[in-house]
Amino acid sequence: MMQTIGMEFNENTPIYIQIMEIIRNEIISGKLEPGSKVEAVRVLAKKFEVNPNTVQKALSELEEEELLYTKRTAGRYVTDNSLIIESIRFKEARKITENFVSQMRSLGYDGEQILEFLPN
Amino acid sequence: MYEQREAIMETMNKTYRYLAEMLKKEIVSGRFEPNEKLPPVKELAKIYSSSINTMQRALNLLEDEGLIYSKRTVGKYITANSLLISNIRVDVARNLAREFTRRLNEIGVGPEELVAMLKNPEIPYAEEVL
Repeated sequence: MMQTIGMEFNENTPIYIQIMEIIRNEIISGKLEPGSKVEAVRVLAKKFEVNPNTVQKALSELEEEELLYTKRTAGRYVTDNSLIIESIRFKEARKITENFVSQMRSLGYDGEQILEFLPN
Repeated sequence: MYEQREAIMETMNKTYRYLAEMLKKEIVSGRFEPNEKLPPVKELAKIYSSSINTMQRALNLLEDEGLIYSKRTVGKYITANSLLISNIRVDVARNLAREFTRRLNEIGVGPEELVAMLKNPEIPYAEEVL
């Protein structure tokens, strides 16, 4: 079940990308289980309070990434290939880390100093 | 009609806060020197592709925080208080660190696993997947 309560979109990224990120995070964190059925487009559209086309676009992109697949007539499912999930989870973790480190660097912090800001 | 106005106001609100946040990062990262004169509002608005009005509000916010001050008729300056600047830099960094931990948490990566990932920069299973 997708948690969308109190969520707001920011204006600097297209909404379908933000929806994609939310669903991707649900998958790689394991909140949406491998092999489980994804809620219907119109249900998700209602939850996110967006146009069904926007949800459709986000889901298609996730299919491109092979995190989701469609069973003809039966709907959409989360991949049950844990290798794909792990590999994308790893890539995301690295992206988040690189982004953080580069922002800290531009503030003038380096190496050990950056670590001091993190909980032990 | 009223709702539409609310929505526009809310968007404006977010925009100037976002802009203030960006300017703050530039100031505390040393792009501007303490006591340096800022370019005119009009010019800053152009640089950050914002409206003059939004830029003005963003600058007011930073002025409230004491990061910049106005000399009447002459313009706006970065504070000479470098202690304040470095305190705010620490605040900004803390927020970044909090956001970083939150985002990792969202994908279910804890500190130990992160360290393990960074020690081994190869993406696991990449060969099998490709």
